[in-house]
Amino acid sequence: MRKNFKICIPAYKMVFAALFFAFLALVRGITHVYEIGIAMDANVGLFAAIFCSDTYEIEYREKRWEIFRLLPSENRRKTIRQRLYLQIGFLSVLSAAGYWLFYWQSPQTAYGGAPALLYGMYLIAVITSIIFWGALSMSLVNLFRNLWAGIGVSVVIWLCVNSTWGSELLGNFSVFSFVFRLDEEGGTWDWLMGKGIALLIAIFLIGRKGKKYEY
Amino acid sequence: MSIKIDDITMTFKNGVTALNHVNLQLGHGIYGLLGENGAGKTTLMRVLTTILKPTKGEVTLDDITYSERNYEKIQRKIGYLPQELTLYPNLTVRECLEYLGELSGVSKKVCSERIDYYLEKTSLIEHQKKKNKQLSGGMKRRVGLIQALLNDPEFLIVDEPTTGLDPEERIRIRNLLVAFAEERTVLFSTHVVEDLAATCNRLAIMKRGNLIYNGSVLELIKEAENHVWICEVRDEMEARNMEEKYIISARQITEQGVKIKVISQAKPECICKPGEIMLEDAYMYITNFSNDSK
Repeated sequence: MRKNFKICIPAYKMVFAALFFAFLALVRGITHVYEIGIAMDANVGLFAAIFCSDTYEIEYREKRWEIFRLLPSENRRKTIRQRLYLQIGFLSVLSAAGYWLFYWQSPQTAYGGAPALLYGMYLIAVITSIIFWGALSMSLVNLFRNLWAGIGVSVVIWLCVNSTWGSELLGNFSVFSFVFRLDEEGGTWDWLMGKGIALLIAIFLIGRKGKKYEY
Repeated sequence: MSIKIDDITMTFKNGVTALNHVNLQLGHGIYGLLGENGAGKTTLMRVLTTILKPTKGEVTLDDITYSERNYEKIQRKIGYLPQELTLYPNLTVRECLEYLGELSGVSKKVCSERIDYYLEKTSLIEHQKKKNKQLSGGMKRRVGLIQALLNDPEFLIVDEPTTGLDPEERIRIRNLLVAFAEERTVLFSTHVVEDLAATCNRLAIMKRGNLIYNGSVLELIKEAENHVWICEVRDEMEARNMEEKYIISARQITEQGVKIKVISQAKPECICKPGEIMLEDAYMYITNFSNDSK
């Protein structure tokens, strides 16, 4: 696991991930605590899509694919999945910590429910987003055998889902239902439907086998 | 171990035929694979590793046919050092070898023993804690070779394993391959003819996707008999004229002028005597004058 961590999360990735969260907390203005989750969910999702996109592609980019392809397929799948889980875990930890960075803006706690509840909701929403967008971009990159095509299609999907049009079309089934449904009233759990569907899609993408998508 | 390549053709989507009806049979020992850039050596090696599927023809390894359902079985018997290989830059040499060894299904204990053995054999023991990105080109090549040996393959395919190595290291790697090939098959592709002369009993030479020679080193040298000449010319200008007319495999400036080694089917039109045939001369003869090479 330690070796896979060193392979898939090199120093430069750690630095730019940390900078991303710091930058987001600096530039994205919020007034209320409940807005932190709204500010982070979609942006962290997009970041996860970019961060995890080269989970397998790195073997091609760094010219190891010829020996990697000769490894037993089950071990290959296992190690790539482990790399994805490690990246998801890493981003989840950063997201959990990054939430508190917004407190420099001294947000109000009067609306949206108890801070602990909001934090819990945020964690569920953002970790699901990381899993979904990470698995989706990795799968698309593997499918197209091209990093930029995979990232590009992921970004297009993100733009569609994150738009007003996407919100109206998908409603509670959207992966970003948390962003669109959470309001000052707080305490609503309708958005869990969208996150549940996203999680199921991610499980399918991670668990799938098949020559075309093989890793 | 027996590998049979039966009339394989490999045509890529862009229409380029990289292998054209190639037939070859490999048994125990080291087989040299020679050919100019783009001759089809790497394509042939990729077919043998199962990375590429030939358009036509059949390959068998110990009577196991190369087909998708047998790939895993075949891959377990193969070790491969590709021409271009960048090992995990952030892992140390030892970590990288442990990682690849364990992924290829070798138990931790056996893997560790093999790593120790090959690190010693390749003089990398004192560099095992260095990160791959800190290694020189030659060291990286040696680590690449070790990773190919970790699963104790019955069929080892090495694409230019001695590139970037200093002379002493090259000899060490050659000896390692010779010892390894005693009970196994090694297919050794290189541009360094000297490496093949020192290690291989049998050679296959490729040109433009065709196998133009398959036989022993001695037979190849015999083929070039009466076609290698030593000519002495007075000056550089005359030497250049000769280069335009003939294939020159070596030149040396002497007190009398320039001594050149000419590869020619007929005796050159100058004062000359038959020259000693080296493997490189025979290779040049066969690639330029064999019927298949045209």
